[in-house]
Amino acid sequence: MSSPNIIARKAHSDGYTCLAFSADGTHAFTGGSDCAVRIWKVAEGAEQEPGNATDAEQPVTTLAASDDYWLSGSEDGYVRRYIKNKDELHGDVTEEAALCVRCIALDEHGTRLAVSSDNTSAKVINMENTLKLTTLHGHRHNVRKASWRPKSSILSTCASDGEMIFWDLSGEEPMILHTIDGIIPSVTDPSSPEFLHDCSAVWHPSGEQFYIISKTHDVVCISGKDWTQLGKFVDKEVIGTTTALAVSPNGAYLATACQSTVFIWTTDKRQVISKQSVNPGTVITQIAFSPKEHLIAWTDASGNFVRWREPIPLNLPNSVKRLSGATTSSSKSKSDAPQGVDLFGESNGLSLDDVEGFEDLADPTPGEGGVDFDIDDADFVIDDVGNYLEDKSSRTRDKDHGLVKEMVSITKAQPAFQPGATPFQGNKRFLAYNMLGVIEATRSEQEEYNLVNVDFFDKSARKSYHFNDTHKCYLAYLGERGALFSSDTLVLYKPYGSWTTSQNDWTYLLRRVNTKVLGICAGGTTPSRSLKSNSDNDLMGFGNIVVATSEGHLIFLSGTGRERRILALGGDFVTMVAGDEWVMVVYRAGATTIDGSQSLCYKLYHFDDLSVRQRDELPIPKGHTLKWIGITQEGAPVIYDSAGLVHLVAKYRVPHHATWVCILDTNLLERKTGKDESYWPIGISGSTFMCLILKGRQEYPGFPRPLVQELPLRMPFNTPNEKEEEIERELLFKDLAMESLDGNELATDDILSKERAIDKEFVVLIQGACKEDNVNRAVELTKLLHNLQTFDIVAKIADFYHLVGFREKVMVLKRIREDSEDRFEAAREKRRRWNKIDTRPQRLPDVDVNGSSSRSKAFQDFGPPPAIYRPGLTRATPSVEGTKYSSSVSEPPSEDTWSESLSTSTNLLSSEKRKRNDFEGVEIESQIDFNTSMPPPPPKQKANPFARKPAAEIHKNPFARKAGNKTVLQSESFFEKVDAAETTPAKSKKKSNNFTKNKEKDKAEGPRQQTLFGLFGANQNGDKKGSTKRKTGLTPPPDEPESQASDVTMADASQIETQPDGWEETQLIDDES
Amino acid sequence: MSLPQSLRTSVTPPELELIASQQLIEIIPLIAIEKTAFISGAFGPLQPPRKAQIPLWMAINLKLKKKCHIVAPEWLSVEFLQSRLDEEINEPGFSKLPFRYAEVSKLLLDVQVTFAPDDIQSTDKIRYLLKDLREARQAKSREGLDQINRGELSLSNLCSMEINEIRPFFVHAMGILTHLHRDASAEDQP
Repeated sequence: MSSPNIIARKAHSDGYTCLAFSADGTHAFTGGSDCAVRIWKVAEGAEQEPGNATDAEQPVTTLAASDDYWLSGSEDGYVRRYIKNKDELHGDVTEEAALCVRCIALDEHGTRLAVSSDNTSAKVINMENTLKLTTLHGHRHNVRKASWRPKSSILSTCASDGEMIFWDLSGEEPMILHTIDGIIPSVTDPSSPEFLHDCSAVWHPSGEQFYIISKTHDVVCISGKDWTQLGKFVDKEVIGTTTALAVSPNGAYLATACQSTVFIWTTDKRQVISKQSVNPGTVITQIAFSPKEHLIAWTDASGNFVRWREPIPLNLPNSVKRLSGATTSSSKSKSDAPQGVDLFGESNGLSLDDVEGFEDLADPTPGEGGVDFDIDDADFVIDDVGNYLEDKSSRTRDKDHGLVKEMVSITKAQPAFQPGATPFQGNKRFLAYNMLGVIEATRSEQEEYNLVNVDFFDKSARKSYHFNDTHKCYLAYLGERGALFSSDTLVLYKPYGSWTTSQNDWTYLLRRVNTKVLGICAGGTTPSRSLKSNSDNDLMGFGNIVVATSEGHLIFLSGTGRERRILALGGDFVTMVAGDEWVMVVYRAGATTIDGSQSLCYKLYHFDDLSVRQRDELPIPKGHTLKWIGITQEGAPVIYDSAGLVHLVAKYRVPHHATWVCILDTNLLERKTGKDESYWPIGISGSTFMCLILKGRQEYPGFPRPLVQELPLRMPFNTPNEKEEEIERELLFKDLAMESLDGNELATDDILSKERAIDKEFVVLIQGACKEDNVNRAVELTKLLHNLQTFDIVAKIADFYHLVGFREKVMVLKRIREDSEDRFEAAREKRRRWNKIDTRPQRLPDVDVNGSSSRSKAFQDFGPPPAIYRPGLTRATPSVEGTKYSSSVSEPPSEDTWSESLSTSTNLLSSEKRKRNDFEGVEIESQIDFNTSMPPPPPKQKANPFARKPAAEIHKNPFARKAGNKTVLQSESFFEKVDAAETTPAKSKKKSNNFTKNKEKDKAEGPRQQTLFGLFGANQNGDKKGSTKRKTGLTPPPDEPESQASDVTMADASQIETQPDGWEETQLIDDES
Repeated sequence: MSLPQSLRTSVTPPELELIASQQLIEIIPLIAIEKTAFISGAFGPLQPPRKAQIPLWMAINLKLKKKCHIVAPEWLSVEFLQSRLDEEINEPGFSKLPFRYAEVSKLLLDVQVTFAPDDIQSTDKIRYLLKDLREARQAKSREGLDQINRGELSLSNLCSMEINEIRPFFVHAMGILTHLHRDASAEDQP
């Protein structure tokens, strides 16, 4: 006995034991495998001598008690009725032909008894006339447990195969209301230990839900309405099988027994609040709350009977919502229908007194004596189930909402709000307050309508008006093109310009049930002229409307009320603001964090294509909330938080590249020192922060409308240099202005003048830096200058301070700036690049498998270049002198092919020369010689005359075989030709052209070609040719190997011509090529 | 000003008002106007609800057309004037007030009375205070008569309207003093 509140006593022998309280709670009945029922006085201690009822011939399996009697069921198949609180047998209620009675359950009025035995059918017996009984057929296996649903005629029965059936017994014939399969475990063997575990549906006293031990040994909560699982009772301490459970009479607590430990849970939060373990190692078979007292009792498989007084911690209301120790048995004499005590076999039902007692605490006005049950029920639902509703609304999951709920309650989530709105102060409030104007609402005296007053600051652009609003709109937004109002489900848009008539107004209704408007906003471009004149020719329309609903949707509407799209936001909407082309929506993606962060994010939707342009977190410090969101006059989004910081979104037009810039810390304002005041922002215009000043602890501006104050923006730089801060701020705004330029614009006058002004400031700073001899700083600043002229001024400053080095640097910088691209164009290019949308990946055309596969896989072809296949090589090589030249022969061509492709420039050069030669060379051979500086005249001369003749015949022959030397040379030249023709026909067009020309015209071209090839050859590989020359013995002057090389080639050509024998062969080669 | 015709040799108070109406004053416009060039300079742009500095004459003109709210100058408030009046009474010298406070306050208050009296709070009180101030200062300037000498006259913190008031008489008196002094010195020399 771990505590004085525990009274434990061995009552029965080992085995299954059962337990029931009398309706008044004064007596407890326990039954066990020793075939006896013991009757305990609850008030007495462990040493009392219980009464015994030993009529049963088999172990007692189940007990129930009502106001007037108590019942026991035994394995011998009898259900016996005893006189109230006594051990005197009254008689048998029913007899199951030698089948074990497993469970008996009295309904709450004590008029009907459900009996389940080892049989597939259960029986319902009318207690007033026990001969009247209804048999419930429907289960396919033995019915193990039965329990009544409070406040109804619904009986739930559980079979050993895990099937649960809910019977409606209100009519004559039993009806199966619902069947649930697969929740409870299937236990068929009565001797298995699992058979001792409770499997009945334990109904909440409200009848709204029941608790049951599931197959997975969790206690689950199931709704009595739609039979869906509402949640689980999970705790890390509760390990193992839950064997029994019971609900407290007031429904606030659930007791579960996990092996030998009893846990008390709250039914709404599903948290363990208390636990107790008395006889470790045994299994608790039944547990029950006393219907009257703050007491819980259980019996276990070892036959122990344990009572635990005051199981609920003192800081919580007790299990009966009534101070314990009330020993009353008096109030039982109510005239109402007799109260059933045993609802489900183990948990005790409500008596009227309980409900009253409960109500006493729940409701300060005590219920009257004869409160009827429906009212109690209603209270109950409100009190208990209401918690669920709350939980749902705060979007915590039912299942583990205990923890999440805690976190939510630590950091309160910021509710949705409209920027610039205040609550009612007296009978007036601001619905919207921005740079355009004010919307005020005044409650009428009877509160039947609101007088809405729309007042604009600029009276010339829009006409102020007022109207009586019968919808009592509480959300409003003052847009550029119209004013938007909304009540719960109705959205009303009043475009400007239609002030005389309301013909352009339209309304939009949310038809979905339980959907509310959380926020509205209207965006549009600033009108170029007054909207007072009812100009129909304004092409800009009425802007764009966005409506945020409680369903998490953003509904985009056009200015005339056409529904465009419903986007899902994916979070809790908080607030939004619209610019001319976008809407910035602030939402909470998840929950608030435990350390105080609101975890707010924003998305910037573009109105045109409804794409998300920006998506980021809001820079709100922990423990602070978002106070205001708006746009600057230039169109950038701004926020203001309760920490007093103003942040601006820079680069908001560049998709997904926006940054938060802190532009003002109102705590550092000069005017704030020594004052207790706060600021209520309205807008930002240029470098001024427009706000209303709230004195003291005031949270909202009041009436009459205070004057708009202008405070200078100041980025909270730490270095106290105002000049530099100002320049950086100006640069920031200049950049913003640059970003908002259109595609083709380079700059505007405004930007140019801003740049000039900034340059002026820079000059002052540079001068200061020069004065301090801080040349590095001066150079740094000079680099930031915008205009070229300013460089000259800076140079003058450098002169003045005799900083020659700096002056030079300035001039260098100026030259660099002059040379570089125009910065406006560069900036425009950058803007375009940012905004350029990549084209979709194009699917490349399929590869033709049959042909040109090698070409298509250009970089995958690791095979040798095609030159290797050239038969020309092999044919040309087999000269008689072969061995000597073969090497030289084989090498050059391959090199040739490669080098050709690589050294296109040289090719070009040579080809140009060729061209020139084409013109000149025909006539003057000697000139050609001169050109090429070809030393060996004799061969050429020989060659030329010969060449002409074959030239007529077009094709030249390599005479490799006959004149060994020559053939070698020949082969080289041919290779080149062949290469040119075969491998790179396109590139070598010029070459081939030359060739044809050669062929057609002259041998005189021979020498010219020589030059060409010579050059070419020289480029390629002088050495080889030198060697070839040597081999050929063609008068090679050692000084000029290159020329010789060319010589060779040329000679080659000429020689070919001279020797008509090899004629045919060359032809062949040509053909091949 | 209650000066006899004979003394009205200098500028008249309305003329002074005209001069004073060139001063700049802050307004909250109710209409939007681009930056506009006037003979006296370029003013604007007017962008409600931003404040703007424009000449007093223009402000009054707009005010009469209900196109702006005039932001009362800081000194045109009960607290400020009261503190100056206390100073005026207790201190021997003139208290420091804007040079053309009399003209500007008259112009503004005249506009206030006929049109929006909401721009300046408690105009009546201000009028009384201004009158008290004026009388106190007038008394002081009269006292200053006995300190007059031919050489110089220290007019620290004296305002344009007051200078204008005393100018004819003082100039005349100083001329006579100078004359007397010259006579005296002429007698001394021989």
